[in-house]
Amino acid sequence: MVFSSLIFIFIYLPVTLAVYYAVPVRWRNPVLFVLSLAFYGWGEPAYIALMLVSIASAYAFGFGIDKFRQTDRKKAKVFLALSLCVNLAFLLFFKYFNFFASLFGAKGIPGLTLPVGISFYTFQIMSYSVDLYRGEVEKARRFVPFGTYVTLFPQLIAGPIVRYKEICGQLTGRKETVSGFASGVNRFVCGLSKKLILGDGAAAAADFFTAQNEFGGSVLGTWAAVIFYTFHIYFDFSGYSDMAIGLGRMFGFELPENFDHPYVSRSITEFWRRWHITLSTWFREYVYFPLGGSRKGAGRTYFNLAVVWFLTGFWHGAGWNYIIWGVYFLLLLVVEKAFLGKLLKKLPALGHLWTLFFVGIGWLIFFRTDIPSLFADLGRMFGAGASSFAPEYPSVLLRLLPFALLCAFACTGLPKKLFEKALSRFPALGYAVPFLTLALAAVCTAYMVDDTFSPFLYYIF
Amino acid sequence: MKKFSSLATVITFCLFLGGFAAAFFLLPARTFSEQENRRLAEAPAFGAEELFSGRFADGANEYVADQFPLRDVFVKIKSAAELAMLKRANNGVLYTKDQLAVLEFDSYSSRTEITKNADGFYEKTVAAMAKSRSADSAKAGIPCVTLVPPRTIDVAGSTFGCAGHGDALFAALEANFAPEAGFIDLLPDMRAAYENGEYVIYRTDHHWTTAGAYAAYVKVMQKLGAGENIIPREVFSAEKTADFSGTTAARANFPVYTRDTLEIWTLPDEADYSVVADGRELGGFYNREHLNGSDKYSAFLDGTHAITTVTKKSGEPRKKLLVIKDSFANCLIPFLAREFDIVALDISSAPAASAAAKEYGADAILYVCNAENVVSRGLLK
Repeated sequence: MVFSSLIFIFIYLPVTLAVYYAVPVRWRNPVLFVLSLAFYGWGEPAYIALMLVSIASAYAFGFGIDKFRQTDRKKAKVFLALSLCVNLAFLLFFKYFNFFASLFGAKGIPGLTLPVGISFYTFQIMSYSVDLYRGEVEKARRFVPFGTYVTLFPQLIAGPIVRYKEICGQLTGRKETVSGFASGVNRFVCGLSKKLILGDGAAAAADFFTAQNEFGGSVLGTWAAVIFYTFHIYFDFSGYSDMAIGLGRMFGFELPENFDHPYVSRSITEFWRRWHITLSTWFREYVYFPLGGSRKGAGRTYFNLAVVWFLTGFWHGAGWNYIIWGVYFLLLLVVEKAFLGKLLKKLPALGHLWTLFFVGIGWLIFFRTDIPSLFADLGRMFGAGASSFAPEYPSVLLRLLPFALLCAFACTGLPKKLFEKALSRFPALGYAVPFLTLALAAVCTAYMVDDTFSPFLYYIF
Repeated sequence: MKKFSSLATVITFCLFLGGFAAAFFLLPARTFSEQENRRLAEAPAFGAEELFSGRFADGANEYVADQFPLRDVFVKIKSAAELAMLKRANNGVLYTKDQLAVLEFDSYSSRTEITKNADGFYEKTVAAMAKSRSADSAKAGIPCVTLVPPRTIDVAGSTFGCAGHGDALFAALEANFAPEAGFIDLLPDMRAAYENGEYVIYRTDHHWTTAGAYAAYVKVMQKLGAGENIIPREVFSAEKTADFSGTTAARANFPVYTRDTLEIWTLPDEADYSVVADGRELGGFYNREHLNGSDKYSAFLDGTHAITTVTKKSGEPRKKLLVIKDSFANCLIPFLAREFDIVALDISSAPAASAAAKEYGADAILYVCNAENVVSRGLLK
């Protein structure tokens, strides 16, 4: 089920909220667990079993890890390895089997589909096993709270990737409040608007320009496609994270932030501190640091970075373009680390341009799953193979300019700042907030009614 | 105040969710949407197989969307929001107050189709269709005329500063038709007429107006060597129905736009003709009952039928014209019927024109397939 669907917002969510708040506190986790499974199984129930096996294995091996972690590290390590292997095996099989099969010229398995959210929940489960082994968390004694952690529907299918240690306290001792619920509502509606009004609009614009390009593209038309892709993926994905965080708050959870206005960054290094924060954190904690991080000399640092960025790219999808995409960011980060970073710090304007330019190109690599058309588009952006500089009908480009400006404005922290300023100047505005939220929710409903189904991009990873 | 704000947010949000959920379950399900001119989804069947195959989920998603309370109001709100963002378009329809136009061919709206079509689409696919149409015309061995009515965007491109891909389509058609097919390129004249301020295409509907169809009638008559029998425009009297809002407007739901006037051009001899659609006598060229509903264009020949025939009640022997057609021909046929007996077959189910001509003993063939149907449905075959 996707958040931006009528059936989720008007059927699933009210039912879940009503049941959750109607039952005694001790029944709330079981309610969330069961209803989250229903959320997950909607449309693809077969994979519930797979997820339950993943959860049960990590839960069971957790007892082994816990038993030996202080007395016999070797044995504890065996249990850790077993837990990681089971979980990774599912991910590798469903996500990468066909890719590797084609690499070795073998026949893949036709009809092998990726279980929704497996990349996300596998990482969450692994964080538990590793942190338990490291002694950073207590073992999960009861199955239901642990199951609730993995299956919690707000973050189940597209993050944020919540590490067990961040949330284990909330699983058993959270407190739902009116102000928490209200801030959840505001955050959810905000995310919904980002996804439906800006994200889907930008996607349509990007598709439009791509379609134009298929008939002999112009330089500006190709740039427009790249710019709208850039908006699309941000509003789509960060909107999803906002919705997840908002929904979490409605049930008393505080999920970690996942985005911090990434497009205002002044370097690629900074961009990756602001984009999909929970994924970067995961790779840092569970791959980069264990490899030695930056503590083992320059050469080893670059090697470690290479491993992380190869994996980051590959995590996003089993395709060459994703690997190229990861390596592309690796090169940029290395260049910044080696010498450019200092210069960019001194020249912020250049830093912004540098970041936006290379992030934009990055999204082109990300979206173009077939390599020849990727290079055709890249060439066209700089005139190679373009039929003209401007599109045949420039008014088509101009028509979407106000929308592009709106998107650019919404990418920055300005809207929030201006709103807070207005609120401090006219405190009475506070009375209008609930109704503004409601109006925005109604507009979002209008978008869902009009275009009743638009799957999330990050759904397939 | 923070307390008030929080409490009010929670209460309004819960009422919003709960209210619509309750209305959805309590209101009776609708079966048909006037505005969208289609049947709405019914409640999905429930069972283990439906559940595990995902069919129940798909059906339920569709059902909730189709039966959502105030659906018609919400689609208008969305359209207004798109205009408020100064996009000057909604659901692929470009907006000015006095002219609406669908920007792209239907088949270009999804990514897979784009790639499929782009690979030399005009050079290969359209050319192939034009050639097979030409070959079939030659096989028929009787005079043939082929009309491809352009889309609104092709004709009214100047209003929007954009002409879609219509020019490339018509250039490819022109280049690939053999003389036997009798292709008439209507685009230059229609465009000139539109620029001249003539009302040849609707503002809110994808069809040509009766005046647009009349211009095509003149061309067809000339091509078939019956130019001297063309009935002058002044002879007709126009029966006007105001407040016509057509297919394009229905797709876009814009809050403010100029409605069309639908014209039926009549002559005193109307009662002399027998018009039979799928075996039923229509009692004339027009079913005026449709003028009271939303689908007013269906007044012409009572809309789409698999087979429609027109003969003179007097039994006077006349030449027979086979028309393989989409709905654009519905307002053209009444003009042509003054000259020919007509056998009109719906283009999506018609056999090859040459075979049909033999079967019905036709003396000439007219093929009418609008640009959208050429590109998106490949019906010019």
